[in-house]
Parts: sequence; C-alpha cells; structure tokens
Amino acid sequence: MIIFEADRARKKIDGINILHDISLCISRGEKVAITGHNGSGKSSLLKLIGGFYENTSGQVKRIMSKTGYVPEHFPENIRFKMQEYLLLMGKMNGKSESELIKRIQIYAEIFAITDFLNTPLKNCSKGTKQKAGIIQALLIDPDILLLDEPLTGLDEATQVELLNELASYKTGLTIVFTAHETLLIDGLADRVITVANGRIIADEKKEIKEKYRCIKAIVPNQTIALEIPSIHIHYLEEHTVEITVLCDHSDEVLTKLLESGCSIVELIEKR
Amino acid sequence: MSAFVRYELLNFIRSLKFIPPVVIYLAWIFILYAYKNVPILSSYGVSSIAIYLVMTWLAMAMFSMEEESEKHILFAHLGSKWRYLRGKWHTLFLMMIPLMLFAVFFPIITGSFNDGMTIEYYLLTFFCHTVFAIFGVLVGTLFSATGLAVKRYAWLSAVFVIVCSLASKSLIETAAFLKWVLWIFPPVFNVIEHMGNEFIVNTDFWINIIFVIIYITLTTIIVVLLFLKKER
Repeated sequence: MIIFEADRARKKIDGINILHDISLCISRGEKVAITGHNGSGKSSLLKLIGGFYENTSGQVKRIMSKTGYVPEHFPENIRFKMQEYLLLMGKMNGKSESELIKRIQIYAEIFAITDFLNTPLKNCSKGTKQKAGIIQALLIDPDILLLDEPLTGLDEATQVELLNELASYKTGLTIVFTAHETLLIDGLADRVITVANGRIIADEKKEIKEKYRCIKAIVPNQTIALEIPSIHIHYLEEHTVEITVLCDHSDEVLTKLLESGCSIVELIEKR
Repeated sequence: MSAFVRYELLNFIRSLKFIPPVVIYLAWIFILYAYKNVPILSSYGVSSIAIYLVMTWLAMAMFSMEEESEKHILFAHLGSKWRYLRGKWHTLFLMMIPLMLFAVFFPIITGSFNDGMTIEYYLLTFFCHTVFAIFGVLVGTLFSATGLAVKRYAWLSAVFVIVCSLASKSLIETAAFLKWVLWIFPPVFNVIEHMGNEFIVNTDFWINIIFVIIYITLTTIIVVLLFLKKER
C-alpha cells in the first residue's frame, strides 16, 4: 500500500527552488534512507514527505494518519522537565497518563536517561535532548516515522540501541530518515535515496547482503590458518590473523581454531 | 487540544514574556480608576483599548515563542496546522479572561463609578472587551504568524495598524477621502462610540454590531488562510 506519492513535485521557499521534480512513491513498511551532502535538500524532502512543507507545484498524495517527527536539532527553548514534556506531547494524541508514564519509563531505560526524567530539558546535554526528541516521536505510535539525522549527538552505545529499537519496531511502521552514517543506513534501510541540489539522483533498493563474521585470533603458527575454510585471511601481525567467514560456518571455524591451540581475540558480525 | 493549550500556557508563563504587557495593563487600570465617581461606559471604553493593545502584544509574543523544529514537532502531534493555530488562539483567550474580569470588576469592587451597574452595562462591557481582545489577537497573529511577519517590521506594522484604527475617526474628520482606506483597520469606533455616557439601543447600534461581527469573521478567515499559506 502506497502511503506517499509525489509526481514532479517542486518546493520553492522565498523564491528559491529547494526541491525540483520530485517523483517518489513510499510504501507502507518501507525503511528509506535519504542521503546526500549538506544542503542537498535531504531535510526538505523529509519535510515534504511529512507534510510540514507543501509542494509549490506538481502533485503530492499522502495516505497516513499519524506522523512521528524527530528534528535534527531538538528545540533549545523548551521550558519543561523531560517527563513533563513527554507526558504533554503524548496527551496531545489522546493517550492516558498512566499508559504514557509506563511507556516513558520503558523508553527512558532503553535510552539510558532515567536519571534525567525530572531534569529541565534546558539543562540536559545535546545527546539527552536528542533522545527526548526520539521518544516524543515514538509516543505517537506513528504510521510513518521521520528522522532527520537521528544519530546526531548520540554516543556510540545509544546509536546501537536506537538502531536495535527501530529495527525491532512493528513491521507496518514506515521509517524515512536522513543520514550520513553508514551504521543506520546499513543496519536499517532497505532503500536508499540520494539527493543532490534538490533533485533525486538515485533511488535504489538495497540488496540484502549476506552476513559474515570476522574472527581475530592468535595462532601458534601460520600453517594452521591455511587449513581453515574462509572467505579471506589477513595477517595483522606474525601470529595474529583476521579470518573472514560466512556466518553459517563460523562455529565450525571457531571450534577448529580452538582445537588447534589458537586463542580467539575478537569476533565481529558484519554484512 | 487541552494538552496543547496547557503546553502553550505553561511554556508562555515560564518564558516570563507575559510580564511587561500584563504589568502595563494593570498599571493602566489602576491609573484609570485612581479617581472616584468616574462614568461607567466611557471608563470601560478606555480599558477595552488597553486590552486591545495588550492582547496584540501577547499574541505576537506567543506566536514568536517557538523555533521551527518545535513547531514541526507540534504539527506532527496535533495532526494539522489549523489545530495548532486554534490551540494558540484558545490559549490567548484563556489569558484574556482574567484580564477582562479584572478590568470589569476592579472598579466595581473599589466603588469607582458614579452610578450603579445594570445588566445592559454588563453585556455591553463584556462584548466591548471581548471584541477588542479579538481585534488584538487578530492583529498580533497577522504580524507574527503569517507571511506579513517580516521580523524587522512586524512590531512596527502592528503598532501602525493599532494607531490607525484608534485614530481613524480623527483622520477621517481631517481628510474625508480616508474613509475609503481606513475601513480595512479594526473598526474600534463602531464599538466605542456606543460606550458614551448613555447607552442607547437603536438601528445604528445594531448595524455597527453586525458590521463588527462580519469584520471579525472575514478577518479571521483571511488570517487563517495567510497562516496556512505561510506554513505551506
């Protein structure tokens, strides 16, 4: 089911064309990344999709009732404590206070901001405010979630938490986000739109890459590694080797290495 | 909608931006009733003008309170830009109520009038204050939430409209042709000329009331359209 459709849409602000000839369809459940350089029109396209911007010409159809929006920078002048702010935002959607308190508590634990729930937002760090921005959008229970560079200001652990949270979200949820970071694009997007000078220059379905694992091990001698079935072997030092194997084969390879007297230093899953 | 009104009200109160206009308003009322035995309707006419100025000020302060990203978050939660505008107006009218009640009841409590209040006086007084507050909100919205809200000239333009509307009668007496231009400004004199020493209900009174209601309706529609156009 298509929830957003644009046909040669154009957006002009103060006489300047910021989006040109945007033709685009987004279906329910898609996870779309919008990439491009600074000033290329990524955020404007996101706002056009969300209806914050209306098209100056061309045609746009939106079939979505609830939109969650996370701006790139959380507003600076909000004069509420975090929990008070989130409660008010949730109540605007007709949700009950008891339900909201429970959900805020859950999200606060996920994003590790429980200690800041009673802190005025003005006194919170940039990263904490960004997390509040993400939680307010999730509280809507949106049909489409729009995230404008959501990883800005987040530490590495929270970036991974956010990615996991978004990836585990209900399948019907459509997510459109702008990003520079490969972490979010690789981990979440199934479609990547590239924007330059206000135009869509590429719109590609992302191929699902096979998972593989990188094993870093200390080997007694280099001949052992030759007997290991792998995609790629690379010696980092004389006795330290990095072996890339398919995910399905990793347990077998690890067993072989351990049986041969090797010591495992690191194991990383990649795509 | 009530959550949004609460959000706006708390955010505005905590910004302390209400203090200058409200202090000036209260001072105006105190000075107005510094003398006793003053006429009822003309005094209320003056306090209506005060509410006109203060509501313009409050509306402009309220509409310029949020940055773009906060506004977009609110649009997303409210589901429409029109609901956002309505919520702002509801908040402003909530703020207007205590101001109006103060203007109406302060002189009664302090026994400042030279005569007793009647039902007709109460009705005309509440009507006059409400109409002037609406004028103020509309002028404030026009110059802070529409395409006319060019930052550098917004306050100057709002003051110009207020001055023109308050001086329209004198201006027309000086140059009659101005009546073809000045009708676009809020018709304050259509209300205030009935706030003289005597309250007379005649055809002229009803024509003026109908004109004011039509003016408010049309201006509201125009302001809503201009707001939606700006937020396109």
